[in-house]
This record gives sequence, structure tokens and C-alpha cells, in this order.
Amino acid sequence: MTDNSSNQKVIVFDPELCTGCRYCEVVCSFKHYGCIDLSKSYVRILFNGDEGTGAFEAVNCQHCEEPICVSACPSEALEKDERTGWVKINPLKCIGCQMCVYLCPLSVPFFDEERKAAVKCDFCDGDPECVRHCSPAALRVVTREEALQLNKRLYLGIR
Amino acid sequence: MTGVDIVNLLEKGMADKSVKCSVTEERRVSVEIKADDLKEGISILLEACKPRFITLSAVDNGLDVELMYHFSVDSIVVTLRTSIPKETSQVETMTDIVPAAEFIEREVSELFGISFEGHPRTTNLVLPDDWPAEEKPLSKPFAGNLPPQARGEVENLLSSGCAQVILEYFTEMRERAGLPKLPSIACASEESLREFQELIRRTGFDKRAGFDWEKSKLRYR
Repeated sequence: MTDNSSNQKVIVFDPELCTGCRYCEVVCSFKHYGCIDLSKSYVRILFNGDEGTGAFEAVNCQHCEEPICVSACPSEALEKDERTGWVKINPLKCIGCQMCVYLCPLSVPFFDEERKAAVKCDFCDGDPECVRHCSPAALRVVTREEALQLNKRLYLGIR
Repeated sequence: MTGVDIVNLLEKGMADKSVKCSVTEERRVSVEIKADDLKEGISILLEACKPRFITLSAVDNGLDVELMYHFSVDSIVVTLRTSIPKETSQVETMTDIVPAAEFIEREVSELFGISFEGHPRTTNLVLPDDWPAEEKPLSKPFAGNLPPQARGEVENLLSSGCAQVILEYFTEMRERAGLPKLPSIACASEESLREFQELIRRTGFDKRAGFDWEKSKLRYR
């Protein structure tokens, strides 16, 4: 990880804090589509059926260091901003082939039938709505370095 | 952190304000606070406990709308209650310190007619766009729990100590009959009127009836 990328901001999700209110989905769809439609949210909360903490998991864009969606795009509609690290889709360039949807390990981009283009998290230009409105602070903006530490602790048990 | 700790924290942080904190039951803390101090109370709670904002609920009790901001601190539900008089129906928004309150404040604003000053968006969220602005679906009529026919009498009783207005004609008739001008009830002397009004205050009847002592009349008349 380079110095520049380790200081870039990413969104992390802490399943121990999530209450499953799905407010992040509400505000995301409201910000980007002007309506409350959870299926149009760029962040998605999954329920694994367990009880207690850890029952929820968020699917949100990690703005990868080497994004596979960018390399998969045949029309160069996806671009990674080297300075901020955000991966964004240019809807005017997108031809709707859905390669990014299939190749993303988390299936973060999804195909918007109305726009006939793939859409994904754009980090709300630095102040993500989902993070702002997450009352239990399960979604947080941290640096990539901190995110790596947190995810190692959460998913691999490394402290 | 326990409920008693939260009560101590708020009482200490807002010692100069009138705040009533109590642990109503296990894992529940109730805080009665004035609308002007609400933001300060929430800020103290946010800084010290990092609570999770649960929701905002509103109850229309006829004369006032009670707003309740619910927070969760280590599985303890802390409720900050404030009463908004319907004459003004205005309160400062909390969205700048609690962004998650944005949608629910809009909902309360639309359904109860409370205006949240400084709210970033004020267009309709749950009601249709063409809904008449003056119609608030969950707002009750602005009136206390007195039946309409008793309102005039209660107003007279609380302001003068008499249930009925004593007309000049009656005072003349009483004088002619050799009686004192006024009957020997509360309204006859300032001292007994004060005592009577103090009694009314202590029983809380004035608040339930919605009596305004400054104007000497009911708030909704």
C-alpha cells in the first residue's frame, strides 16, 4: 500500500454496532434518486438470519486500490481518482454491458434499468450520507490503513 | 454507564437550567427539558456518552405538542421531552448535531405542524406534494380538555374567583337589600383570591385547562 493510498478515505462497516435500521439505504436512495426505495441504494444491508450482534452485513463499495470494475469496463466509463481514491462511473460513457456488475467480488455496481447504465457509490463527494445518518456509527469514514486494521480484526480475528 | 450516571451527568451539566431528570424504570431515563435548552442537553449527552439516536416521537395533547427525542446509551433508553406551545409551534432543529433526525423531523413537521427552524429541507416527505399546507393530519384542535360550554365560566372563575360574572344590577340589588356589594367568596378580597388561585396552581388545573395567567384568559379563546 502506497503512502498516498493508505491515507485515502474509505467507508467501513462494523457489524457489532449495526442495528439493522437500514437508514443508510433510505438516505442513499433519497440522495441519489429523490425517493425512498431501498432497492436503489448504493449501500445494501444483508440479514444473515442470526440473532444478536453481527446479524447484519453491509455491502458497500470499498473503492479498491486496484479496482477490478475499472479494468473490466470496455468503454472506460469507470475511473479511479488517484488523489481521492474514489471509483466513479461516468453514466454518459457507460454502455450498459454489466461487466462491472459481474466481476465485482461484492457486486457493488448494479444495473439501473431506467438509466440503462451501471451505477455505484460515488462517496457523495467526500461526505457520505449513509455515514452521516448512521446513528449507531456502524458505518464510518476512516483511512484505508485504519480500515485494513479494523477488517482484519473483525473478519480474521487478528488484533 | 447506568441510568443514575446519565441523570447525574445531565443535572451537573445543566445545573443552571430547569431540567427534571429521573430514572423511571430499569433501563429508562426521562429528562424534562425546556425547548430552548434542548440542543444543549443533547450536546452534553452526545459528547459524554456517544448515544445512538433512536427516533423522535410527538404527541399532540391539545394545548401543546410534546416532542420526545429517544437515545440509546448502552441499552438504556434516554428520552428528552419538551413541550412546544401551539401558539408558536416552533423549535430549533437538531439535524446539525444529530443528522439522523432529519427525516423524522420532517415527518413530525408535516403531520403535527411543528416548524423546525434551520432544517435543511422542508418539502413534503410523507404527504403528497399537493397536500394543503394548513391541513395537518395528526394535529388535534387547539383546545384544552374543558367542554365548550364550561370555558367561559372557568375563565371567570380563575381570573376573578367567581364562576359567574356579577353584574352591576346585582350589586345594586344587594346594596338595596342591605347586603355587602359582593358575596363573601374568593372574589370579595384580594387575599382570598390569591389563596384560591394558589390552590388552582397547586392542583395543576390551570395547566390542564390551558389558562394563561398573564392574559387572564384561556389560551385558545
